[in-house]
Amino acid sequence: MNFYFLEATAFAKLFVQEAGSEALIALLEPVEDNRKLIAASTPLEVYTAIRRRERAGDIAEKAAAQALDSLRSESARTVQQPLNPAVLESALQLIDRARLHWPDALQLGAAEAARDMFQSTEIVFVSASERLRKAAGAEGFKTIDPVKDLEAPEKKSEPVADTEAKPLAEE
Amino acid sequence: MKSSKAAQSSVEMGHLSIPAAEEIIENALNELAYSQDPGLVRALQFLAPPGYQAIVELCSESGRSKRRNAPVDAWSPEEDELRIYFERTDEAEAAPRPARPVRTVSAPTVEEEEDDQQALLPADMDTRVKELCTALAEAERGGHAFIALKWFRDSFLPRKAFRWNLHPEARQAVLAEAIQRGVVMTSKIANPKTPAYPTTTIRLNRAEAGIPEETQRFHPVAVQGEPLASTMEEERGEE
Repeated sequence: MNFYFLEATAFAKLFVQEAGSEALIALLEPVEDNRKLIAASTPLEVYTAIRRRERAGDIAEKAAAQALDSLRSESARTVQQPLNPAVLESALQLIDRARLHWPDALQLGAAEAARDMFQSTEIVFVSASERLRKAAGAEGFKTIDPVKDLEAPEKKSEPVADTEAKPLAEE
Repeated sequence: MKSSKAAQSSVEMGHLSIPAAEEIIENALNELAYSQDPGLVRALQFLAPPGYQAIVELCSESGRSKRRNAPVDAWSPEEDELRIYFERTDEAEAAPRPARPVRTVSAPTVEEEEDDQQALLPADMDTRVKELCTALAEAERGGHAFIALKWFRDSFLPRKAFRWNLHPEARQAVLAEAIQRGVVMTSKIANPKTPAYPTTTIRLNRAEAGIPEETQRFHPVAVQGEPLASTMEEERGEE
């Protein structure tokens, strides 16, 4: 069975309704919490984005409070990859290999550290960022775009454990 | 990182039950494993040995466990005792396991002997399995990232007021039966602390157990305009 590394742009879809939200929820609902991984920085990043959009008037105050509350509880239930020296070193090496911003490298570095820890299992990198999916594909991850890969009609009925995503490294 | 906080420290001590107090102590001991306090380092190999989970029992002076439904006031630091022992967090047990080391010196009561007999000949196994499933459903609602088999069997289950759950052998027998019937499913996850010994986790098979699924867990809220991902990518820096 797969583990899912939920990069911040994908994790956010669990808390705000947008393209890919329903499909991602459908994918993750049956998955045990111990198979969902995030970087330890992800809750902060999503929290910041929700607050920013609330201040811009794009999310109602009450809805934002609900989303942030849900974010806190779900983050606590999800396996968090600490931003330890191994992650930072991975991020540095990723910067050498690909044109990434440091927050992107941190996310992918966390996924690589998690992969090292759970060596016997496949870790699928889930992200709404094309840039990050490309980089993750180049690093050998299977990747999922919650919008393109999960919302396509032919993909919807596939069992969770069999979800396949094509690396986008060659784009 | 996630941590089980079923027994909140904010609970008024006077209203605590014995099991709740035991869980508070267990959680505190297990949390000690993450302590960076150099003054504690030498003690940690005894208080929080890597790969083991602390099990705590509040006992009387004779060594007998306090009744599960007793208030915490029933335990006195002057007259009673607190027993701490450890269970490995690495075994898969569908089969009966060896009995625990003898921990009590008092003679078994009639109630305990009756329970022993029931463990051998459980005429009400269906009821027991159903009760175990109910307990597992409750544990799954508790916000734990996963349910370790040993934690559920040896720490969570004994806190329930069932007739059969005081003895480790009885708990193991019911759990093994539930696994055999397919109402409880097992899997293994890597244990970073003891990589050679993956942790066995359990999960309720709700369809088989006849327990309905929880209501939808995620409730994303409405947002106007561009996706949140765009905001986040903007924060990170555009190409």
